[in-house]
Amino acid sequence: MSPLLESSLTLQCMVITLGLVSAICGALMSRVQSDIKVSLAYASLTQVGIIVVEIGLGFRYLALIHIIGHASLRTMQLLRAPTLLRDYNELENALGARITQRQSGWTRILPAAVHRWAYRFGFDRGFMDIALDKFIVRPFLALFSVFDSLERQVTDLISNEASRESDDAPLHPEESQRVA
Amino acid sequence: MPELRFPWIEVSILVPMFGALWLHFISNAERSLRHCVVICAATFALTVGELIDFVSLGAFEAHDHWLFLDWLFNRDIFVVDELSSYQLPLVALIFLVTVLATLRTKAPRFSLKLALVSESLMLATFSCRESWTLILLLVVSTIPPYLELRQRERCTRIYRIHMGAFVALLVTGWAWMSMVDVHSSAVLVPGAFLTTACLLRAGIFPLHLWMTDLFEKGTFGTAILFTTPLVGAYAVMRLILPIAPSWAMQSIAILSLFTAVYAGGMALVQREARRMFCYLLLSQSSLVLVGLELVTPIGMTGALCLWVSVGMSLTGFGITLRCIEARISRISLADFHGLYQQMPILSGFFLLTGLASIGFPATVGFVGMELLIEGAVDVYPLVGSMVVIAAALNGIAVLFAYFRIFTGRHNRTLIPMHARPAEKFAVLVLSLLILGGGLYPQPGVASRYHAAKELTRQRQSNPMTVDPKHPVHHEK
Repeated sequence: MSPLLESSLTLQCMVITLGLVSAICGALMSRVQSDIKVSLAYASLTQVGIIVVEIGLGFRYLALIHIIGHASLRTMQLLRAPTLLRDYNELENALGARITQRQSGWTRILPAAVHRWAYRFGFDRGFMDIALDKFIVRPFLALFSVFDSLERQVTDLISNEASRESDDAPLHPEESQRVA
Repeated sequence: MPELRFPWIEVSILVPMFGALWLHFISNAERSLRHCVVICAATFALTVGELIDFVSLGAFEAHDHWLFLDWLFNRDIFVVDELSSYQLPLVALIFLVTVLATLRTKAPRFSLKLALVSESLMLATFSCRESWTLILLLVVSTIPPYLELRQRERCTRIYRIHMGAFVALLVTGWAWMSMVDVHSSAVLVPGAFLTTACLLRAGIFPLHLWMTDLFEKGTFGTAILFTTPLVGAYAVMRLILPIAPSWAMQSIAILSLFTAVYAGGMALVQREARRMFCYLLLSQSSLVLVGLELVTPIGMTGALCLWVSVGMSLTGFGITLRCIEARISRISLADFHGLYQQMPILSGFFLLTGLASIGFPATVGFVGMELLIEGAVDVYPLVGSMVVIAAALNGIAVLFAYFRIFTGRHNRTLIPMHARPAEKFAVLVLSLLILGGGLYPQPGVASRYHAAKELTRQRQSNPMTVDPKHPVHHEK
């Protein structure tokens, strides 16, 4: 095992947890994609998550074999993807109907509400963009907007006038057709 | 002290001074601009000559061979050493590219005479070490922007208050320092005065409002010329580093780190390009100060490398914005402008200089930023990560500005937006230096490291500033 992982149980647990979360999220996200290559990309993420779990558990040779096998298989899948779709199209044209997909065991067990939630989770990429925007970006910008407003008040007070000429900057000066 | 083979320093100070007088007799704006470009180019050539001559001497410091003003000044007033040898060509380059990128139609609004006088004062400042001459030059160099604000009939109160405080603290601190023993603890109070003055000049929070006000009310060119050479950092290096104890310097580094993060965040909420640039410059210059204030060899090497890269890259970034402003007036960041198709060269240069300023690999800023982060984390393991946060915020601000200005719906304009030959030349020169310095960093980094080791050695010789954590090993 890596000396760094060996010396810290906390780090090991963190690595395993991150790997598991990546694998589960990747599996959900790959199932809701409408594009085959994006779906394969998320499937790769799933495998990478499993490899990270293997490294966290100390199975480095297993991880190495997994990496090599995954690289070979995924390369073949990505190269085969366009012709696979064409083959499916030809098959369906010959049959005159869509090929029915067999439902997985999870789909039969879980209730419909959970299906819908899992679909939204995968489609919105784990709600990470939304969470990032809501909990980090907007509070950050709001805080610094307050600072900007305070600075404006101070400079207006000292100057005894509106101190920001940039407030009058037109939105699209390039449309005015006049040289500055 | 070793002598240079030619009076590079004095001639490079006198040429822009006499050039300003020469321009006074030229009434035609277009001819004035051409002559100003020639004068700045000559000054730049002289400073490059000084650098080559100094490097070939292999000494730590040197002064001019003949002194025209020997009867007026002491022989050792103007000295070039390893700390300032790269700064002089950098200052001259900043002035040259800014004047080169000035549009003919904007020449009457941008005072070329004042720019040349400022160049002369700034070169003299960077040629001085700690002395009353340096104090006088720092004080006098605050006058040209004030005169321009008066000429433009703008309110000068914010500028006057801040620069007045700067002058008062500087003069009082230096006068007091002259009367005490610099190797004793009596130096702490005057040192605090000088430190406050230098931090004010550098724009450290909360003393930075003068800088945003100057960018608001002055011409963009004057504001760039007054701020990008980082005179505040030079003042810290000459006046504070030789006397301040390590604990004091490292405490000030926390304030500089806070300023870097604060300015990086403020750059993200600005709705206009000049103000965004001002905060970006504040953030980057604070990072340079952080490196100097860490007073470790690695930190100071990072700071000295970053100083050169920030000077070049942010000057390029600023003149690109200035070129766009000169055509279409102030640039709002509230919406997309779609200028890429009309200004492909300037858009590429904008991205290159913006990324170079934050330390993108293969640009001149990469090694400096890496060394700075290493130095900061070495001294403050947790707080040092603020350097990374500041760099990340600056990177987001650069890309945000790029997308707002150059991408989006393309608007056809009748105004010629393509880069002129002079602008292309300025872009080419800076691009070569930014990429060349990034692909072949070793010579520059080695010389900065040598200068940083020398600074550390000087501090070790003063009992007030000796740092037991970083002993200097003398070579046998």
